[in-house]
Amino acid sequence: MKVVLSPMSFWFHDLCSCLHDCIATVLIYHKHDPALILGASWEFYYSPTNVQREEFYHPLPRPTLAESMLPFHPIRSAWHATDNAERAWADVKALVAEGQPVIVAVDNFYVPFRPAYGDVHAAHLIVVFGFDEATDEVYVLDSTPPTKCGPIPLRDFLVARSSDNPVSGERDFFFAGAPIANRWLQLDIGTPLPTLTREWLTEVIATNLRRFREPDASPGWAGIAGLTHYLESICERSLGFDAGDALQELYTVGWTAQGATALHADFLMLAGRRLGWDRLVEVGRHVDRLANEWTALRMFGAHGFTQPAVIAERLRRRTITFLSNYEQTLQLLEWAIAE
Amino acid sequence: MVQVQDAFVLIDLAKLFNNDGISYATNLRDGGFNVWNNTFPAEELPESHSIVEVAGIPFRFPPKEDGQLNNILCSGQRLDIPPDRYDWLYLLAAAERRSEDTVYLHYASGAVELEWLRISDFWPEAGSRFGEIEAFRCTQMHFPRHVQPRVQPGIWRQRIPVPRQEPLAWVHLPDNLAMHIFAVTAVKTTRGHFA
Repeated sequence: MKVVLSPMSFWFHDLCSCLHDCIATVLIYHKHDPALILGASWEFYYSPTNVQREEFYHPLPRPTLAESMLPFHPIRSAWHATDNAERAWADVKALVAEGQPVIVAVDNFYVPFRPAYGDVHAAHLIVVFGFDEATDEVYVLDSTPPTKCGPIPLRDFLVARSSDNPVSGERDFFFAGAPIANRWLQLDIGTPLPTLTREWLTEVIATNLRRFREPDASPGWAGIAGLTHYLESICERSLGFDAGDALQELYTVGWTAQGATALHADFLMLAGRRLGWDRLVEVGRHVDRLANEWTALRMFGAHGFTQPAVIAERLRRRTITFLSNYEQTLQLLEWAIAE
Repeated sequence: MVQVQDAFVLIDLAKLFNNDGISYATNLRDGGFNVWNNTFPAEELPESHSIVEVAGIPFRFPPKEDGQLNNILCSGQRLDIPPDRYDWLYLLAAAERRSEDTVYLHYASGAVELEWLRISDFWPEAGSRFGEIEAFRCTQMHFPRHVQPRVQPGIWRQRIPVPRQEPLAWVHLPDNLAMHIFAVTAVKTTRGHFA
């Protein structure tokens, strides 16, 4: 049996992770605009007990990934994990045969087209969109350069899917350590999707602002208070015994926050242009600035974890100005929807 | 040494270089542009110390040889400029992920103004997010243990306006470890009508 879904599309965003890329590819396959879906929600959430060393780590302020990432759209999600590689592959294959591209986790160490192949262990997501039982091949799409859209040997695929993703080398920092466990992400895209109107957009922004100002009670750190608490805790830890861990974590946690911020900036500017809402386009650029500022914070983490004493004070100063800009941007959004 | 070509003043950055972001395939561990120690392939970039023109602006390209530093990793350095009236500062730059930050322009009079330095990601497929011109796009990336085809890093030509109509003296760069500057050329105010 051979199944190859088409057309498949790459989607890459310079500040986003493989999680965003893969979800966007699936949305495009189902003929939806990822920019208007992925970027609608903007909030901050951090759970100190649940940070994964993975590029696709995403905190969950609500029970599922879709409810957390895409709360304004009728999309459901479920992560699946098993020790049984054959069983996991059978489940993924069945969905593909039904016409659904499926997002799967791999260890890049075993993926022949990844730069890390045979070199560095790193958890990563790709999209499976076909298989050929006659040739024992799996059709995969990866939007992260060097891009790939085509078959790879099933043997390699299964090894990459069942890897323990060990920390074993000098360059395995950030995304090694968590077993791949044959994980895959099921997305169910319901209908109808909301129509872009000024009223809907205003409600979306108001909800986001409410989540920043008055976050729901939860075990994690949420909203602007949670972001402040998180960044101040990283600054404090960067002076202590686990400074290296804290700064490495900033790189990972910051990626999720940066990606969401960048996507929301794009969302505001795109929606604002489509609706002729100029003020919103301008405020979108302020949100974009925050996304760009996340880069500096994350790079202090990435480059500073081996020399925290050199970084700590600079990170603290950057954090203070960043939080001030964050507060100002939230105010601009409040004014924009009040006009 | 500062080099002057008509309206263009090619700023000497050698004393400020603090990062090696370029390697030859014969020594892939020479330097590290980003946290993964990737580097630009020297074979695909202009000759060391050569004057290279990018969209009408001449730049002095930095050294590429093993062990040579060739870019400023922005850490709050002071970049001295021969005092004169300029319209623009042009840069060859790349960022380890897109970033924007403030620079302080210090004028000879003592006046200070804030301007933006915006640099797009060096990573392929990222594109120019701030309207920069692509100065160089390589066909492959150097990893510490192999040469990777189809991962194509780029260097951008960006610019910073110099709005005050008086001599500029120096620039205070941001403390932003994402930003790398390979070359700077200041463009003088030359047209009498605007002088």
